[in-house]
Amino acid sequence: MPGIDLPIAGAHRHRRPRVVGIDLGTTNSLVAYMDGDTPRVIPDEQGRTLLPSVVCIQRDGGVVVGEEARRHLAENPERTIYSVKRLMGRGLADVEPERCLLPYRLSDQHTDVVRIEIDGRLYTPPEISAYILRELKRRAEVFLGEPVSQAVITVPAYFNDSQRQATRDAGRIAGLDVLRIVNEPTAACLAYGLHRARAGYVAVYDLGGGTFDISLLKLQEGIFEVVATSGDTHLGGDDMDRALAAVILAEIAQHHGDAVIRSPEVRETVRLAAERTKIALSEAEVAEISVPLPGGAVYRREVTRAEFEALIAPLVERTLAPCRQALADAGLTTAEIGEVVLVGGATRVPLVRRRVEELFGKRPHSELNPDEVVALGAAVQAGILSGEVREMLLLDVNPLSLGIETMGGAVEKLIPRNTTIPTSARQRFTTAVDGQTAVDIHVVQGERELAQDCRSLARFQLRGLPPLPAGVPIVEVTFLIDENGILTVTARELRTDTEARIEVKPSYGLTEEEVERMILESFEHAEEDVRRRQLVEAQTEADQVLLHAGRVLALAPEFVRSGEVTEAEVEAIAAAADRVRAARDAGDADTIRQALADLETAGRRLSEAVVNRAVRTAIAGKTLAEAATELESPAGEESARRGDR
Amino acid sequence: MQNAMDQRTITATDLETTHPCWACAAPVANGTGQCDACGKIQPLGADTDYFAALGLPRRLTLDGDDLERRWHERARRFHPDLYRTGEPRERIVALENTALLNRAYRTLREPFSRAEYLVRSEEGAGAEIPSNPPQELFETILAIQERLMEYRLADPDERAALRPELERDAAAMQREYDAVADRLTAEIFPAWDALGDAAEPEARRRLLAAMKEAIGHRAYLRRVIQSLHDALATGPGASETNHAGN
Repeated sequence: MPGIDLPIAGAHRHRRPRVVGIDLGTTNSLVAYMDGDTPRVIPDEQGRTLLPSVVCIQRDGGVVVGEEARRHLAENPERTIYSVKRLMGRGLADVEPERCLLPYRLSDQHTDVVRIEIDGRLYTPPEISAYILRELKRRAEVFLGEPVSQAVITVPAYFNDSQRQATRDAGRIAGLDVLRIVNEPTAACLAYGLHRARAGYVAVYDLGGGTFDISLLKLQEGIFEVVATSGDTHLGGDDMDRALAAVILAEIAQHHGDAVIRSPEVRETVRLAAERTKIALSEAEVAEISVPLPGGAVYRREVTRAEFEALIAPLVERTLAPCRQALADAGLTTAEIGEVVLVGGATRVPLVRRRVEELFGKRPHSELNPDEVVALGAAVQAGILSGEVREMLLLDVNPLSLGIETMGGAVEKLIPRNTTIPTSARQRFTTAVDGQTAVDIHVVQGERELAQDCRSLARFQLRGLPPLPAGVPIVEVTFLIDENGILTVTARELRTDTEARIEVKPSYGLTEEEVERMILESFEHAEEDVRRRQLVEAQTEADQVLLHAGRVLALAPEFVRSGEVTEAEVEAIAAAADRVRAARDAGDADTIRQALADLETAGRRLSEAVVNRAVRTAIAGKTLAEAATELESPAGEESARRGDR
Repeated sequence: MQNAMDQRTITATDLETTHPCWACAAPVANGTGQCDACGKIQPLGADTDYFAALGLPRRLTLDGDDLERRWHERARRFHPDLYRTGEPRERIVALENTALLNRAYRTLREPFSRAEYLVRSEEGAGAEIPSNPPQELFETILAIQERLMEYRLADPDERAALRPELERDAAAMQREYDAVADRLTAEIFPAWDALGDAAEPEARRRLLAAMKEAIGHRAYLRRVIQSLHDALATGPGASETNHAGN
């Protein structure tokens, strides 16, 4: 309602920038938003909601994302990156076991952060993820018709601090302010519990492409309290594909020789065939695999569901231990779980459903599309943070214990895992040596008893202690975890009031400067990408216009004879067309546009004459098809385009 | 992390019961968490008693559902998610209050940690709570430890023979554990809650000592049960069921 300009309380909320929810998945990614009180997934221009998490770096440096990049998986495996989520926040040593399975190259020079090498250029996983995020951001902006710069992004519950930070960095590189990282199963629960008044415990079993999570939540009057969470960051549907692919590859090697299966193309084709077979077997009892091999041979085989289930049974069994762990942590029995929710594409596998049902003794829910439910939940949390959703609140937990290293390398846990955040904890320590004037504080994350087995988060020193006998100083260490899970550690010596404090920025080898540089580069690339697209569009249009101009010029002599246009005009048109051709080949979008505008001006009278003639001939008994062909002139197209605007 | 505004100039008598609002300086009653004048949320104070933070008297017998309701009520008032676009000061208050309330809820909802909190607030943070086996179980536990050692060193066949006895041990220890928990909540808690303000110091000391003993026994028994379950989980015929719980 324009014109009404009263200072209504809360009215400014409507002008608040929108916050979207993003599921940055191993296999597919999605973006969703709150449409009033309903979360909705945002489709692209073709109506597709799933964006395959695949990025192809082309030979000319151009980047293709999603469905189009997927098509390059088999043809250009070494420059097409999939499952980059498995590499987020990891060092080379962390990914060594699966490295041999990846068709793209990882640089050996960089061990702290995995770097993917394509055409001599190095890409970090956050940079690759940023390409996916940027496409989702673009989709959202096109769909919503407004700029989008804030997001909630989901991660597996079992992601550690480094992996979460890498995800935040990916958002920043893509131009998104990541307001919150939410655990995927928690997000799913938010989507499921949205309009449900029922109180009780919900188990969310989330088996995605590359990770497994189990979360237990307590729902009560709009409050979603996470009570326990557990999982395995290296277990998912991809492992099922691999198990089947290994069998296929072994059989191919047996019949066609070892050399065949060394080809990355063959390996990738087999992996994709295995994936298709897994999906088919969720519905059918038998599926056929057919893999074309180099040299024209084709590998064929039938797989029954029973065979497939025998193959993946150990993988499915591995998901049950974290389920039991979470139940134990929460002090719950399966009987106390009221509802079970399935999330993630791999939960479509019938064996998974059966085993989950057996464990919890109840049929799991799956009314919501398991591919979309996480993004929908992320949109709900985005709505809570933007103030759109008022009646709901998520009380999340820290997934891993936090502590400090004490004498002899042991770990004193200050905040156990599954503690509701924000939270704080205080613990007093003392010195071990007479006259000690400094204390080293080593902050670690993990469940193990020894610091060396946990993940080191930060080290800092409390200096300036008075030289006192051992055991006399009182060092009080305070941990504060905020609502984003960011930890601040303060150490204070109480007798002298000496203080040292550090905000534990989770790091995974990328420095703040490097991330900043990537953000800057991404802006440059973003511009480059836009320019590249504009050029392609201008060139395409030039080709079409030149085609029509050629046709019209061929007819020109008749119109000169009839006096409708002059010889000079026709020469001007031909010259303008030449300039368009030259501009098109020179490859500058602006020059092409200018030349096209000139050609249009020069050719207007001739075009009109051609159209008029066509109309006249149509009336004179020509067939409609013939008339239409002639009407397909630049002038006709131009008027149609004007009509669009 | 004491907030600076608590040190602003206010009279000694005010200091007892009120603090000035950080936003409008109107006096705010301590512990209410909200300024009546301007409506802004107020710090509860990092050192606030956990019972008081949740609006409860210092009584050890608690209704779990009521405790949770109080926690949720306060989460809806103070959670940082609700102040994301608020003033920086407001956001700090929201964070610190919520951290305190989460800690308070986590500590009070479980009887043993609730008792330990009370002991430490009565006797100081450094109060010694030794983890001992109950006196009368000393011999029994010694025997169990020997059987455990024997089991760990045994070969698979011998282990199978030793299992039933260890399983009986685990069940027996679990009964003792439950008995300690019962004594704490059914005997010690009501006795403490019945003490008036005028109670003799000796009576208080006796009950606090009983609490410490129960906490220590529980910690000890828990470790024994855990090591029995760990051993049984690795042996032959280890069942699929989960033993990590207590």
